[in-house]
Amino acid sequence: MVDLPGTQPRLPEYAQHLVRRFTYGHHGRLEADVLRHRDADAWFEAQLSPGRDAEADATLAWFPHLEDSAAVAWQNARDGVYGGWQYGNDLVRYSLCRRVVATFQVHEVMVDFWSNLLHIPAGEDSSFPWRMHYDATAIRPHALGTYRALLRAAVTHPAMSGYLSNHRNTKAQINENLGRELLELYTVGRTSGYTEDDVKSSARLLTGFTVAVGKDYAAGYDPAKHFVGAVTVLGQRFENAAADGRAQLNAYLDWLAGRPETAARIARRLCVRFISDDPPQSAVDAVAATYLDSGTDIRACLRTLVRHPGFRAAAFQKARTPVEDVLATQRACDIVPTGAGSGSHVDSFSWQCGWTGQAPFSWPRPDGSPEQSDTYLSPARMLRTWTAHTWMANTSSALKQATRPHVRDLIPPVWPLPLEDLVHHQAVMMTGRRASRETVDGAATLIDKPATHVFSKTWERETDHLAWMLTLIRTAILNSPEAMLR
Amino acid sequence: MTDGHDASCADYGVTRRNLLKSAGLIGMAGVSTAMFGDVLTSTAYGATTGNILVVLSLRGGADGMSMMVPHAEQAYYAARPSIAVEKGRLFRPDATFGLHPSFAPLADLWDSGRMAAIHAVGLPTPNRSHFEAMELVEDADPGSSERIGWLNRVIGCFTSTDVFDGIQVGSTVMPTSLIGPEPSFATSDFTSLSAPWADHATLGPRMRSVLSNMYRDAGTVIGRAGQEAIALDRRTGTISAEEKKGPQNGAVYPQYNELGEALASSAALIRAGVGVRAIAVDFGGWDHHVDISWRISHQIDQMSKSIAAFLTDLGPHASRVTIVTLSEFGRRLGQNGAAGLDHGYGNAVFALGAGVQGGYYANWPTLATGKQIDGDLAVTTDYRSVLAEILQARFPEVGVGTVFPGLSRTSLGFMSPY
Repeated sequence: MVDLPGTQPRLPEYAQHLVRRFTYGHHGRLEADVLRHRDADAWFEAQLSPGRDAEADATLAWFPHLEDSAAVAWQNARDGVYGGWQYGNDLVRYSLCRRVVATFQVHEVMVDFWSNLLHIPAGEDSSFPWRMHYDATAIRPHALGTYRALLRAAVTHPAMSGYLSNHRNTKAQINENLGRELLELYTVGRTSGYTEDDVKSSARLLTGFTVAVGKDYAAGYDPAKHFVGAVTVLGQRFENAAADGRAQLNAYLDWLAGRPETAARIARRLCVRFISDDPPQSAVDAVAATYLDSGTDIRACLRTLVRHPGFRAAAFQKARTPVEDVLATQRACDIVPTGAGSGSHVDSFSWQCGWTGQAPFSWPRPDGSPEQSDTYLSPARMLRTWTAHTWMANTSSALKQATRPHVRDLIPPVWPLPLEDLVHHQAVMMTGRRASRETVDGAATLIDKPATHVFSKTWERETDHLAWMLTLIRTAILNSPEAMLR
Repeated sequence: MTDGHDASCADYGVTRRNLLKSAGLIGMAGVSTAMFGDVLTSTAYGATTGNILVVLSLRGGADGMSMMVPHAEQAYYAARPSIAVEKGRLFRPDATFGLHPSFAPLADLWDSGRMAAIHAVGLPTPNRSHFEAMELVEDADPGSSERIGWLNRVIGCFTSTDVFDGIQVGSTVMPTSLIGPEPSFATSDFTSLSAPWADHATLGPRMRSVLSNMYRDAGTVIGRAGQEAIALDRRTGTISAEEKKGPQNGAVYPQYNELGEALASSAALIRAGVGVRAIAVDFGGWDHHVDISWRISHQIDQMSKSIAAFLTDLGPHASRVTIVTLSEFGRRLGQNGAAGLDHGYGNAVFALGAGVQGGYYANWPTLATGKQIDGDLAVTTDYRSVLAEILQARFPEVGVGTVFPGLSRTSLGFMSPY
């Protein structure tokens, strides 16, 4: 018997693995993009130098308030025109839309990764007027650049000053909040052995930045508030002699970014996200060495990571987080948002993220959501993710401001049609691979036919009937363990 | 008084997973799933009269000296010129301590001797990192690299090993204290916790059978999560039905408050009688680097109202429930430049409800200059001693030495002996 077209994977195993790890999930257009390149590594290399992403950028027009200046955003919030939480919700939905439609998936994944390391919740009172600006000017341009530049941009940004109280940190009265998290979360980490005095010194170097939180959120730098005088952090002396301390702060941040302890922490976090919850130490060491040798070059680190044998060996060792699952499900079902009005499908899938356990940009503490995927595998999350899959698998319900393929385009033009082939055909379309034995059996159980069933009767050929069969088959595919792993 | 090391609980080595492992059942298709289901249903009713521990995590580092104010100390007022709680506003003060006035909604509980306030509690050595300190508090096994939380070890001591033994309410992300080999789960509430199409006469059973088959391999992380989800699905109906009835006995929770919502769900869970033994509730928002006065006042008010409503809501079940608050560290003695407090050390802990002998407790180190640790309140009582005292009084089957290995503990006497 001739194979039904579209029942064999088009990408080799390694390419599938690379794509699962560095994108928001399989999609036909992505697969075609990979195939246009010499091999998966060539595709990855191209992804590391993203161009303009027309489709992703176009979604910004759906959220006009995201272009408001900080002053306007605050004015709107104060006047009850548009609340801080709405600004936050817009940023969440905009980011999710980008991740669903973007061509340069690796860039979106890295924006996600750094946003989580340098986490500022969206819609938070002291930072929301600047939060979109933080995303657009601090995180995105540096997500595939150097960590040194990223760290400077993030730590000195008004959103960070507002969130971690640096706007209240002055030479007269030191506020340790940002100075401590800079050491603990963003650079050298606790194991570097810094003292409480080091924390205070770190905070002193950060004095001078101003944000009129609760007034008009105007941001600036006031040398009169900057602490002048030599300080020591982890044994390193900073003269800090100038009234304007920004040059000294940049030197301090560059020094922190280049510390081996920072290299080890960034490398481990990258390996936990992209290899496994407990990555091989040799991979962490290799990435850390590249980080230092390359002057904190993020692309160089990613190249080292994917070339390490530990990466290749780690297929399916990570579970998708709730957000990753929601996004992969949209892409598997080829659901494409076309707008984000009230009650739109974008609202639905954004809501599903929180309902299944991980509302984006809402983690309540500065350490970001856990990168360990087993944290998200609670039974409650499993039940809700299965349920959300069932909704998204439905091939005939109407979506508001989103498209999905017509049922006719999902059915192979072959007759009679063996059930097992149909399941593989759907699985390849949705996940890029054939269905497992259990998934085929599961689909057959849901349909209440034997796995050997062949659709051959005239009424079985009706679109409405096949639409329902496809809904059940797609439910089985999305709810299988391998579809929840990456 | 030092009790030394307690004996380990006898059944700790015979948990369900070990049973399965020794019987060679893990990973064997079908069998472990079926056995899992049997264990769950057979223990569902047996444990309904057991005592219950509710752990309220005040994440962010709650300021103990604003909550349980050492008003006899001049150093307290000197270090906090604009944010100290004035003597005249204190609630139920004695010669040494007084509660923040926002504790007023707990007046009945305090006056009936069911609320203990315990000061100068914390980790044995200072740690001013939120994340590391919380990790240490919840793991509570210094020197061990195994990622098993203390609540998970408590659950391990119960004869039933049931997914309902240990529950995190309010977030679907597992806290460190619950992570470990014993089944437990995290949820925001108990609605919509069923398998897809659960109410459908034909598709419901088919879906359950498909999921049971797909997730039958308990040897994988995802397989185990799937099996526990299927076990959960069988019983959440009872709980969500109870939750839909709303608060009972005239209890009124504060509106739009996440703690109130989580405790309302917890009350329904307890009333439903499915056999829960430990509930962990996260209540964040205590990291008051800026303008602490009005912020903490609001937090304490919401917490007090939520706890008061919870105990009312529980009705007769309240006699089984003990609540304890935990925070990763206290805050500095001296205020910072933003009318707030940076990360400090010694802290106050509150125990409320069943078995508690109310009042103020502390091996008070004083705030004298020589007694401070790097400018902060010292710790004279290991937080694990506080938890151990509650466990010993309310859960005699739990071996304190298993839950807190190597702990040399001191008793404060704030619990009635079992």
